[in-house]
Amino acid sequence: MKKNMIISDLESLKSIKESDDLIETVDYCDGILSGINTFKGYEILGLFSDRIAIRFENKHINHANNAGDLAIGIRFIGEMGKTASVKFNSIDKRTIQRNIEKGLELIQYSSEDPYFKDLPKPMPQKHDVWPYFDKKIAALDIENLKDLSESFLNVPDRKYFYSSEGSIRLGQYFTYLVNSNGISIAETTTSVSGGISLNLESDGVIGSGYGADGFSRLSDFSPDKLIEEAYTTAFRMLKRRKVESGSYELVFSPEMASELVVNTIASGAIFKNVYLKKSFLAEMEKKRIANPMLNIKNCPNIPFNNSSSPFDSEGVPTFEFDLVKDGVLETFLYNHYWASRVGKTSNGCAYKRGVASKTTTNPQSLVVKPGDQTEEELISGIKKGIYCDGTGDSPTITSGQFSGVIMGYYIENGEICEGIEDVVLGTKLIDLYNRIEAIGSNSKKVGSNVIPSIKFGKTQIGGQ
Amino acid sequence: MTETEKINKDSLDISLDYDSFSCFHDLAKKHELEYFLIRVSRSRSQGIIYEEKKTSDIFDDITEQYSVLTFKAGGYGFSYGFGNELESIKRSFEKSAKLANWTSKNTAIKFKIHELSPIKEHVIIPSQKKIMDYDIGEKIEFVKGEAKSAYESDTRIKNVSSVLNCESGHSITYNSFDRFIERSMDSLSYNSNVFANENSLIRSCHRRFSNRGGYELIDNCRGLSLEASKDAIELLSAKMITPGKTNLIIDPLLGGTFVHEAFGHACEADGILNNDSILEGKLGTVIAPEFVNITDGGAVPGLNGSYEYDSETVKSTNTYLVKNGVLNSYIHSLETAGRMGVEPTGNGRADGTFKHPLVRMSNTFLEPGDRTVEELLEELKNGYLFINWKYGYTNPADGMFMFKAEKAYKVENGQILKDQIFTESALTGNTLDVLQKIVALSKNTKTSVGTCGKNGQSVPVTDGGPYTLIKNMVVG
Repeated sequence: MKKNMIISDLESLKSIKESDDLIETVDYCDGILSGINTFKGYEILGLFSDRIAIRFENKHINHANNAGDLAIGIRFIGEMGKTASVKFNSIDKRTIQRNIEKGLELIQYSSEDPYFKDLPKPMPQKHDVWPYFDKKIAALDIENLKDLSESFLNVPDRKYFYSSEGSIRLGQYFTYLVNSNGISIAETTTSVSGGISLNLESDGVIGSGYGADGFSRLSDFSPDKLIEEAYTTAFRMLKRRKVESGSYELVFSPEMASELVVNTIASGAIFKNVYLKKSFLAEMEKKRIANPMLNIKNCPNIPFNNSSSPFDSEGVPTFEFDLVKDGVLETFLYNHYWASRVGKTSNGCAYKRGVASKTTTNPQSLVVKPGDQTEEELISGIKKGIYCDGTGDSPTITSGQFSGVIMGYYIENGEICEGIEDVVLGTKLIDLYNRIEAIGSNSKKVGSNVIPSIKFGKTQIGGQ
Repeated sequence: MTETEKINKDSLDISLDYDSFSCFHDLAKKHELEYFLIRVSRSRSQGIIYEEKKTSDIFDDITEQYSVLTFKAGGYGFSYGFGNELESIKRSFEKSAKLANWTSKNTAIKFKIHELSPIKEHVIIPSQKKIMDYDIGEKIEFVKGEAKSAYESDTRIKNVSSVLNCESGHSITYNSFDRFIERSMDSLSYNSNVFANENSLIRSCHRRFSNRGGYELIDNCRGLSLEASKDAIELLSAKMITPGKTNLIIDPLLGGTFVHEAFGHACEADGILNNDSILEGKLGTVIAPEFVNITDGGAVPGLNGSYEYDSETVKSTNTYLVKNGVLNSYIHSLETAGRMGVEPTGNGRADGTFKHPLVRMSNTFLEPGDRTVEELLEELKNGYLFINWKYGYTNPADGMFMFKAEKAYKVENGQILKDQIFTESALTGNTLDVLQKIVALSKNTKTSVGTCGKNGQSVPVTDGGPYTLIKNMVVG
């Protein structure tokens, strides 16, 4: 183990027996690469995962998985910013040799990148909230998963039940990042996640609902909550109506607000998109993009949140900062490459989906400052409106427009009524954000974000 | 290093043959299993990400994987790992078998997997030009040239981002019916995203090609970036459509998305068995006008969704899902065929070795009609022509769907108004309603390639059809 290695949780590291193989292999690669002067730098990322999962249909567990995987990715940096990468899933030394030789070969073909400065250097962490490793999750076996799934398996006993399916997954993960500038970070984490897709039936009408979430800590995982979410949605969709095209007040659920407001602003604020003129927020830094009541912070330091960490995927320290303050876009989101390219400092938003993927940019956890009205209060003043619970659609980040189907319920005289069908929303996103009229107090974890409901003024929707 | 040594290092040989798998029958007996499926693969993926007029990544990855699916009395066990060693696979088999025994005790739905007769075959997908024989320099030159042609087509093209991925793979699939399928194949995919910019307005267009075969497929990718750039420029003058109800024509590419998303998913027999499809109980009933015929099958040769044997070793077929407006068949895996007492259709597909097979579509088509496009426009008179797809989704349980078209033109008095172009246009509806609203189909058809997502797995597919006139659709 390297002297300079920063370890999130030594005890948990020792409990993952395969971590020794991974550390040895990554260090072996590091040893070879440090002796080759053809490369100006390199970054090695190793990942080990051990997962168990069950899938269920109605009352029956019909599928169980148990598997471990290991993968190593190496990114080579040559002269003048040339870059190439390899990935392999073997600890065999001949395979490692093949991949390093392949890197040497590939780098010759790479384009020069005059903007590349250097890989990140070790920097002190700015907070101490590491990914959480829950020993209770690590100790669970397939029988425990059955106990966890009990509520899901009882759903068929509920009124209007038609069908259900879903899964529960447990995992323990070890990642090890090393680069040629001396960064060496080992992190362990656990996860428990699950979801249920539920159909109810009444008078020949099917109502569908879905509930899913994931956590690092076992005590945060509540199948009952997921079931209630799925059941409530499916139940409301048993009675649904067409809606006349027209102008309606809208209330976004936390899930919808996360998707169409918060994550969309974050995607538009990724500096690469901004620089390459692929974002509707390209010229909006320090400008108003929403009603002043909208405040969004990036918070990589929420205890037990599944994306909290003192370091991003390049080993750069993460910290809390304002993305949107009083409706103004405060900053763009940078990883090390894009920040140094324009003479700025990374705000710790480098992100890698897997060992082989290119480093991209993503915030850790976006938190919307809650307002002081409950969701019921947001809805209570609406005579004719739509409660939007989700969309399978995605906004277009380049143009800043959204046009797509919305799912949710009709609001009449301050109350949520039937589900809606065949309803589309078409709007310019900045116009929509400026139509925010109130923000709820009902903050809810949505993925790794924490978001309340949001109310919008009259907005044109298409129906019959 | 000699050239021979180099080749060996990149070799995709798997050190297992037919005889290696005989030991698993004894293991299956020991664990009282009714069925097992072992898949082993070794593949090499070489590619280029090209953006800002330079390579931003060049990669060359080797992956060695195996997985073991076991089954007993309605319960499955699944385990996987890295490498190709027999001993590791045996350990995984034990793990998987224990899980199958455990799940069989936790399910009351008992069924048999549809049985097959033994077979031993080596399928080699022909490559005129072996994909890894072409050096990375030549592949970079191709991507560079494509981007250059897009940039040079118009000064308003500000960004071209392209990804070329060349793969060479070797896999073995073996199951308890003594079916041994060895497969060697190359494949190629190319994605190009082109961004046009004028007065702070940004529009983007995307083109994609993907198929099995050697480096000769690169010829199918030539000009895609230029095509995307022309569309991106055209969209600079596009407006957003006014939401509401209208009559419209959808082009073959969007029509293909309709039959895949809105209809095909509802034909997947796993959804039927789990009460998750609007087509449950509708076999043999009229669900569309008589001139509507829809097919799906991996046996259609030479397409992105083509294959000889599915991931469960079942020979691919081409199945009429709708014949003369009547729902004719669902699509099946070995499990759903066993449970419903029908023949499998060869639609048990997995997204790689680490994923278990699911019921999936392959090449899905709406068959052509007898009209010309001009006749359709005349019949439409006033409405929209929706062109190409960006994406779509559906809920097979209640039949609700949505697709996003790349662009739409207004049609007035049967004429396409090229100066009235719309973007970000979505159409939505209920599958069974919309099938009944199809008024006419054109003679000419086209296909498009894509990937289809289900339960976290993506598989290559093709879909297509004719121009389709539909009445009373909700757009927005």
